[in-house]
Formats: sequence, C-alpha cells, structure tokens
Amino acid sequence: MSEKILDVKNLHVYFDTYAGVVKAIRDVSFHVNKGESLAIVGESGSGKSVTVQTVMKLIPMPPGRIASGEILFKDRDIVKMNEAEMRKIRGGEIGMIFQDPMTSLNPTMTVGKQIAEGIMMHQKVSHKEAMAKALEMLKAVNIPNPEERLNSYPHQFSGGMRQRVVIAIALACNPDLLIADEPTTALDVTVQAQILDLMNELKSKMNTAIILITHDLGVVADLAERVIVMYGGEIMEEASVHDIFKDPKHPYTWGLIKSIPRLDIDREKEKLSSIDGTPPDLFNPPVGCPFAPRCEYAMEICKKEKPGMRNGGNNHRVSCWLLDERAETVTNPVTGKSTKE
Amino acid sequence: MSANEFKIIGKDLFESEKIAKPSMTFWQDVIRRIKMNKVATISFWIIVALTIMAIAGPFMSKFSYREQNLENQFLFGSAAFAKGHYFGTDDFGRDLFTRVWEGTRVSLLIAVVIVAIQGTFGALYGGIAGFFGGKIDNLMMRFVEIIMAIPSLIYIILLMVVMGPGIKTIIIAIAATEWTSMALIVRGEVLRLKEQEYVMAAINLGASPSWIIIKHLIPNAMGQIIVRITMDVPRVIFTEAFLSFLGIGVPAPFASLGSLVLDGYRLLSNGAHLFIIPAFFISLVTLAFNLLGDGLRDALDPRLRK
Amino acid sequence: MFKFIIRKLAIALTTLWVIASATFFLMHAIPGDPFASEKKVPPLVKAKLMEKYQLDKPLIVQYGNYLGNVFLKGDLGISMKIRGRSVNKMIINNFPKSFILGVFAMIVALAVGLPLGIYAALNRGKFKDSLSMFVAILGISIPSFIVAGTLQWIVILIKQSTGVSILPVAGWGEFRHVILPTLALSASPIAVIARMMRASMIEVLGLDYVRTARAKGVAYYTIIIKHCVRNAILPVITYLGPLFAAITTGSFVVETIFSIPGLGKYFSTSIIDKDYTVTLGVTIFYALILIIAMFVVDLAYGLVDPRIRDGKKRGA
Repeated sequence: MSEKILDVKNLHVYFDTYAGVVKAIRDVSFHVNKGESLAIVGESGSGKSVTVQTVMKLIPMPPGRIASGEILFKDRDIVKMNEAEMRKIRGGEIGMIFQDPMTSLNPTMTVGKQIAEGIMMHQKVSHKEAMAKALEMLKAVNIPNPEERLNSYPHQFSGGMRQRVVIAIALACNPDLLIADEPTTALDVTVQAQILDLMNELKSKMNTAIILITHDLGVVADLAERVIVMYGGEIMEEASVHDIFKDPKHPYTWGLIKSIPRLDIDREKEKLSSIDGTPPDLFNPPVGCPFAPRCEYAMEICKKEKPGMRNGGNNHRVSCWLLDERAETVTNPVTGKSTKE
Repeated sequence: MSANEFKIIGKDLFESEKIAKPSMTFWQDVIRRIKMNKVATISFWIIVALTIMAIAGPFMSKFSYREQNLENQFLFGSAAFAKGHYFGTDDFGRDLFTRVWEGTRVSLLIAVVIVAIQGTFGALYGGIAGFFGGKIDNLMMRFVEIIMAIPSLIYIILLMVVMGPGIKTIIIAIAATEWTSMALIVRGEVLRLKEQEYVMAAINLGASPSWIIIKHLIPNAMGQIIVRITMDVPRVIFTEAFLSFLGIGVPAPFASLGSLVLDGYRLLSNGAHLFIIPAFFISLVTLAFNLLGDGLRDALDPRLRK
Repeated sequence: MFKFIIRKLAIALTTLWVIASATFFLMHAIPGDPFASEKKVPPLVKAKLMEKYQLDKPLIVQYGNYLGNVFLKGDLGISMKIRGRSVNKMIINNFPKSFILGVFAMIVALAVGLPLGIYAALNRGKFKDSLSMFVAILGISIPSFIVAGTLQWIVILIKQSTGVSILPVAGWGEFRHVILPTLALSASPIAVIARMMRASMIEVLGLDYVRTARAKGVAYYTIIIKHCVRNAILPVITYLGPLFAAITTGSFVVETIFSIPGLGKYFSTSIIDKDYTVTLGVTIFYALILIIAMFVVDLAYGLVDPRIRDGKKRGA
C-alpha cells in the first residue's frame, strides 16, 4: 500500500462577495500518494485552482473560507493550522508554481537571490550556503551558464528559462509535494515539452509527488499517473491515466476526449465535437449533477439528486447516474462499447 | 424514484445559457457605480449647490459686490447678520456674502472657459499624435516634453507679466500652457483604441483620419476625457488663485475666490472672517471636484467591477 | 543606457534654450521703453545701459548678444529697480535659504507621505484607509497659501488668547523658523506621494510574484518591505522631479507669507514691482535648476530599475 501524502476529505470552499456567496468547491475528496503525479483537469471555473490554492491556504480569506472538510497533509490537518505553521509548510514541504513565469518573478531581484530567499526561510544556512544551493538548483533545472545566471534578472531570461527558475525556487527545499497550476499554458508548445520532461526527471530524482492542474489533455498524457476530472466545483471522475483515455465513464470526460483534435480522424465523416453550453452559476449551484444541463445523456434524476461517487472499476470512481443499474444503457462514444458490459 | 426518472432526456441548454447578472450599457453601469460611491455623489451635489449659489447668490443679497459703505467696515457676527451682511463686510464696507458668490462665479466661469479651450485643443492634439503615430507623433510629443520640462506656472507668470493683468489674459495664459496633460491622456487612449478592430474596419472602408478621430476615437476616450476635465477645473481655480496671490490675477473691482483670499489674508488682523470664509469656499470647490474626479475615475476602471 | 542619457540631455538643453529665447522675446514684447517706469534716469546712465544692452541694435544682434551673455558668461543682467544690483548676486544671496527650506519640505513630504501610502494600502477598504486618503485629498485640495495663512492665523490666535508664542510666524535664522513654512510647503506633496504610493502598493500587492513569495513561505513583513515597497516605490521616484517643481513654485507664496528672504520671495516681489530683469533672470535660473533636477531624477530611475538599465522599456 502506498502512503498517502495528501488526503482531502469533503472539502467545501466558499467566497463571501457583495453579490452573494460563491460556492466554489463542494464536497471534494481525493488523495495523492507519495511520489505519484496526479492531474486535475477541468475547464475555467471548475474549481481546480481554488482546490489547490486552498491546500496551500493561499486563497484570500476573507472573502474566501473553508466552510467544512479536512485537508490531511502527512496526517496533520491543514485546515486547523495557523499562519505560522502554514509558512513552514509553504516552500518547505509543499512547493507551488504558477501559470505565468513572466509575472511570477520579482523583476528587481536577481534570480539567485530569489531562490536563496526560499532556502533561508526554511533552513538554517548562511547566505553563502544558500547561494551555493541556488546554484545547484539552477544546474538541476538545466539552465546553461548557471554561475553567470545566478546574478541575472528575470527579464534577461526567455519564457521557458523563467519557468525553469520558478521550478527551481519551488523545489529548492526538496518538498514532498509540488503543486503546478497550469505550468505550461503560457509557454510555446516546444518549450512545453521541455518543461514537462524536466518535471518528470525531477520527480523521479527527488521522489516528489506532483499535483498538476491543466485543461490540456496532452499534458495529462505526458506527465500524470492518475487523473481527476472536475466540473462546476465538484469531482466528476477519478481514474488512472490509462482509464481516463481508454475507458472513461463520465459523459463530461467523454466530451473532453472527443473534443481533442486528432490527425487520424476522417474529416468527411466526423466533425470536431465540442460541448455546448456554459458552466453553472456558482451562486446557486444546481441541486443535482452540475453537468446535467449540458449532458446528452441527462435524466430527470440527474437534475434532482446528486449521483454520488460510484465504483467504475479498479481504482476508478465516477459521479454519474449512468452507472446506476436503473439507468438506460448507452454506447460509450470513446470506447464504442455499451455502458453496461 | 420511479423508472421514469431514469429515462434519458438530454441537454437543457436554456438553463445553462442563462447569464447570471443583467447586462446594461457601459454608461448605465458607470452611473450606477458612481451612485454607489457616496463621497462622489455628495461632491456632485455640492458642486451643483455651489453653482446655483454662484448664479443666484448675489441676487439674494440686497447689496452689490462693489457697493462701499465706509461706516460698516469689518463687521462680522450676529449683528452684521441682522443687517443683511451674512458673511460680514470688508475694509470698504462691501458685503462679503455677495462678493464671495461673485467671486465663485468668476472663478468657475474662468475655469470652465479655460478647461473647454484647453480640453478641446489638448484632445485634438493628443488624438492626432496618437492616431498618426510615427514621426508626427514623435515630433508632437517632443514639443510637449519641452513644454512640460518646467512647471507651467512659470510660463504663465511670464505671459501674465508681458500681457498685463485682466481676465482675458488670464484665460489665454492658462489655456495656452495647461493643455499638455489632456493631450497625453487622449494620446494614450487613442494608442490603445487604435488597435481595436472597428478602427481598422473604418480605415478599410475609406474613412478619413479626421472622421475616425472625431467619430470613433474621441467618443470612446470620453471616459478619460471627462475624468481629466473634472480634475482640471480645480487645477485652474488653484492656478488663478495663485496668480491672484502674486498680484497678477483678477483685477479690482472684480473678485475671484483667489483674490478674496489674498485680500482677506492681508487684513487678517482686522477680521479673520475675510480670510477664512473665502478660503473655506475655495477649498470646498477644489475638494468637491477632486473627490468627484476620483470617483469618476474609479467608476470607469474596468478592473474594479463588482 | 547611453542612448537614454543622451536623449534626456538633448531635451534638457533644448528646453533651456527655448526658455531663454522665450524670455528674451517676451521681455522685448513688453510694451514701452523698459526705462519708462524709472522715475528719472540720468541721461548718462541711460546711455550706458542702452549700450550695455545694445538696445539700439537690431533684434537679432541683441538676441545673439543675450544668448552669449546668458550661456557663456552666466550674466543675467541687472535689476531695474534696485540701482546697480545684479541679478546674479541676488540669486546667489537668496537661493541658499530657499534651498534649505526646499530640502526640509522634500524630506518631510517623503517621510510622511510614503508610510502613509503604505499604511493605507495595507489596510485597504477599511476605515483607516478611507481616513488616510481623505486627509490626503484635503492636502491636495487646499492651496498651499491657504495652509500657510491658516497656520499663521492659528499661531497668532494662540498667542492672543494664551500669550504663548509657540512658533514664529515670520523671519529666518533659527531652526524654529523653518517649521511652519515646511509644513505649509509639504502639505500638498505629502498628499500626492501618499496617494501615489498607495496606488502603487495596491498594484504590486496583487502581482503574481507576491503570490510566489507567499508560496515560498516568506514572512508577511518581509514580503511587504523587501518585495512590495521596493517595487512600489519606483513610480514614486518619477514623481521626485515634479515634486521639486511643486516645492519651487510653492516657495513663491510661502516665502512671501512667512517673510523668508529667499529667492521665491524676491521673485514674487519682482512680479509685483514689475522689475522685469529680475523676473526674467530668475525664471531662467529656475528653469535651469528644474531641468537639472528632472535630469538627475530620470537618471536615478534608470539606475534603480534594472529593466531600464538594460534598455528595455518599463513593463517589458
């Protein structure tokens, strides 16, 4: 049995705004094992960023608040921790990188200092030692001429290089968990591949668990071992990366997979499909399944009641009424097989 | 749960396409936001009130602004109030209440005229520079940089010294030097708007530059222009007051709030009311315009949408 | 970087030349004989002055001569009212006092304005913020001469009622003379700096690299000072030039009100007295120091922001 390093249980996160309460995350539960990489997939507004930022307690509170739930990191509940304890965890035990490397770095501070700052926060080392470690980190992320670059400013790097620096900062203290919120979205496709390779390399070297947030399924295929699909603030499906692509069971996941442009489809016969409609209103989240209004296979029951997490196979959970024995049998558009086989 | 509930009914897009908040036009939203800003709203009404008093004030008093009565010097207080001198009298026995509103009239009028002139010129200058870009823009901005290198007050003082005192010369002097900030703002807006597609469309349809500048660019820059105008009024009032303080402002027997403050200052020992009351009103006007301008600027800022 | 310096230098020199020329032509545009207002100028003196100023020669020659006088010899002429007093001497005599006052005012403006702005930004939305900003907007709205006059009036009132003179309302010579004028001069600048700093801090606080610092586990106050203030203060540096200008123009009235024998007071007096040579000469002097100040500030900003240092535009 692999050890769970992060265990989120029934998390509810709400935001109190002028216009009302935004129920951003409702009853979200998942876990991450030591050294494994988990991808969280979903469109904008699905709640993926809020979820991971809550783990780091980086959401502004107020107006945000953790309405209920537990976040167990190495068996300690983050929800109950105070700011001082959180500061030790941030950077020291959990590292985080964000989407835009251009704005994620302080423009008036050298790159070396920015890495060293994190190190000195968590380890009792001298400035010299911290800079030496920073140099090592630059080498670890494959930055050429690291000795020179240590004293360079962020604007002197290219986009891909900057993201490497950001990764260096996040991993400087050898954290057990790295959270990457859309790390490659702002980068060119070729650079994307390099960064993902780097992350894979570091993951195996340092045995870091990774939570990867993305809306790009290609990135998921490259890096993830397990996948969670979120929609409208709730989890729709959770499975291994193989199952998500080869045997998905939730209509939303079907829609995502079908909308990936592919070169081998006969354009005469199949159109590029997309999912009609828009995400739900989070001020008044739907009582039933949040995806129901956009779902081709929706049933009356879907609008009235939530299906709850159901077992869809080996380590495969699905929140959908289609898995109920009373539901009609439909053809899985991805596998081509009937759902009740 | 009946079996019926498990029949597939498919998508219900009407439900999902409903957009949460009602939409309104840009200006409706701006006005809504200003109304939410209590301070700005109060300032607006203060300005309205002051304008009304500037027009009607002198008629409310039985004295004229230049009527002298040397027996009634430096009156102030309830006795004076009873005589009809609500704000007291000055060294010539002239009624301060009347003079204050006459002064407000003059200050506001001068300010409005100047802002209108410099605003128009500045907007056109900035619009042309921003629209044409390149060498024309460079040249025009070089000129502006040179003008802005030293405080406009110095140019104004020089011009006033040469042209001599008088309301006309004040207007010319200030309008000729203070247009630069409006030019910069409009140029900034034009540069931003130029990239938008409807401008390119207009160009492709063969519209002339002046048409585009006047019909498309400036109206869309209106928001910033209005903010700038609101903030320019107090600046002009201040400049005129400053000139009055230096002795090259509005000449006697006319009074502006600035000259009243100067006179009041000189006579402080005889009666503080002559200084404090005009000082209060000039500060109030400036304050109200500044607060309103701030509120307008916030209301127009898309980032602050609630 | 080099290009940057050259460009700014070129603008500075051009502006100076424009001001000097404008001054010259304006002076000659003043209707009437410059000596017409002099009561009785002995014909010998008048002839000598005409010769010195070459008032009988064509305008272009006078212009050339004038430029030569100003730029090469630094001679700004002689006062028209005070017999034989050279403008240069007056400036040298009186400027230092204005300079001292100006420096005090700038220090106070920064020392009060910056923390006020930071404080307001950190307490954004709360009462403390609204209060600070309201005080700031009062500072901007109330003209400096009214602040000066009011301060004097309050001190006089206190003296009249209690007999105690807490601060001198006029004069120069001791430290206490500088207190009230500094307050009056710095009121507006404090407000402007506070508002700028607040806006800048709020913008910086919302930037991504602040989030990165938090994600690293950096302490709150370290983030504020090391990351935020350092970056937020940059736009305020660009205000130092206009600050210098505002204090300079403010000195015209403040020195007059507080009877401080500085350059500002003599400038104001020359305007009222129609002593044109002094007015125009001092104008050129002011133009010079303002241009130098702006130039130095521009340079300083270029050095402080590493992005400009490397020739990139701000924000790239």
